[in-house]
Amino acid sequence: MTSLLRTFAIPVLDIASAVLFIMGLKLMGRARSARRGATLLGLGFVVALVGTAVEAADLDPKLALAGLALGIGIGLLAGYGAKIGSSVGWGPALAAAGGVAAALVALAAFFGVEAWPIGGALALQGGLRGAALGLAVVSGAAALGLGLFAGFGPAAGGSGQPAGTALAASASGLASAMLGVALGNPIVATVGALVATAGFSLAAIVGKALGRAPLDIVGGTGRKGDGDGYANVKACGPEETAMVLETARKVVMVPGYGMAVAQAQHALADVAKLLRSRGADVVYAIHPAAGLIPGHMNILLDEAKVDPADLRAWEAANQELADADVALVVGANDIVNPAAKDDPQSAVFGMPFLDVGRARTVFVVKRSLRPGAAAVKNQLFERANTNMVFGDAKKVLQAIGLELKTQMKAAA
Amino acid sequence: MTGGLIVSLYLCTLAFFLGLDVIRKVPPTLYGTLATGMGAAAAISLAVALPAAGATNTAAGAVLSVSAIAVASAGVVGGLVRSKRALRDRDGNGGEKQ
Repeated sequence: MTSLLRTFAIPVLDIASAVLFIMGLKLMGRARSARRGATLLGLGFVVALVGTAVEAADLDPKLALAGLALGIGIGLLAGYGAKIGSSVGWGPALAAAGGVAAALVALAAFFGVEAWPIGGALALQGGLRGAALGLAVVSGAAALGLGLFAGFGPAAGGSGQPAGTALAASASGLASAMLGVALGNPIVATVGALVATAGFSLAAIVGKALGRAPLDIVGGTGRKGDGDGYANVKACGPEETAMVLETARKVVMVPGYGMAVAQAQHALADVAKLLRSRGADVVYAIHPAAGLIPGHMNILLDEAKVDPADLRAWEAANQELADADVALVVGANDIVNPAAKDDPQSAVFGMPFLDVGRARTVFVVKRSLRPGAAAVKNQLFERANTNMVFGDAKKVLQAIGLELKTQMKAAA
Repeated sequence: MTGGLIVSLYLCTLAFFLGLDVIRKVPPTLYGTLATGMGAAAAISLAVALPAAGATNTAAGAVLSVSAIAVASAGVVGGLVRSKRALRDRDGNGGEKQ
């Protein structure tokens, strides 16, 4: 390859790669495009590595290829080796890999890898370079500590695990960014810095959902519940709820007494209509004891002009829940308490209940964690696939409806 | 050399701010996969580890850079495979609940 072609190809590849990384991360944060985002991220790597190969074409590739073969082997093993759920520790540990690698290269740079990539190091930049290399080593060590602690520490596998992974990724990104600066590699500096702050933002978002500081989640310390004996309760807002509903193909609405109190039946029916207009399958699960009197939900939903053919009684509803993407529980508590099935000590044991936990994701719209009429704790609220949406049912559902409309307009 | 230290420092500073903006609202169902994807992206240090292995002329440099390549490529491949798998489970019927 001529040197002129190389001079042009390298920055073009670098820029293309940076764009792929930015778009990839952005798309991975949205339900509809998450898979496309992961693909773009992979492409970003391919383009960045092609750029590296072009730039380092004169160097002996033997060592590099040996390391790559080993690493790809380990990566495939870690990626495919076990079920996602049974190998929780790997997620945060893998997120630390980039930082550990950056620290190792920074150490190698101290040991005299001078020929490449620094070229003619300027004396003026020497101090800055040394500081950046030092920071890369420190951040890499921090990433390793965070990754291992989050993956295998006391709180491993809990609902806060993504926060630990994101923090490890953030420290890894910082280490990579500092190494990129020290060695004058623009793509490593850019992508590393991008992940450093994006990872921190994500950890903060997860922390907010759990009502705790990100570091407390990783360590399994800090606020445990809401003073009601609950732990690991996740909460999110109407917008995030709408983001998940938007991609659901089957949704089961589960109204309870709280819907009646908030007079939220019209808002609920509106959300159902919007989801239907997007092609989703929507039914209502009606528990025989939901509300004040038997038939209470039927009367309210009839008032909101819901077709009685869309209502499912207890057992039929449980069948519908088995293959539902989302169960949207509105102001219900005792009628969706899994203790009815799981806990022989519980006052509600043996009662009919709607097994909403069968759905892939559960949202519970509720004003607080206060117990229902049966005065028992509801373990559903602590489950990994449950998200609380705190607030007045009518207001929350109206906000969800508004968000769905906005998203539909944006998609149109 | 395309970049140079100062140019990389500019880009790094700008990208810090870009990273804050890329992640705004994330649905709870995507926390895990997005974090895993970020972990994979953080292994971009692979792009400097590879040439470092070619340029090194000391034994210590060789050991360090080859280990760095192995660790970083394991992070990229493992992270991307895991997030792809988790997303496929989410989309497919009867997959694992996250």
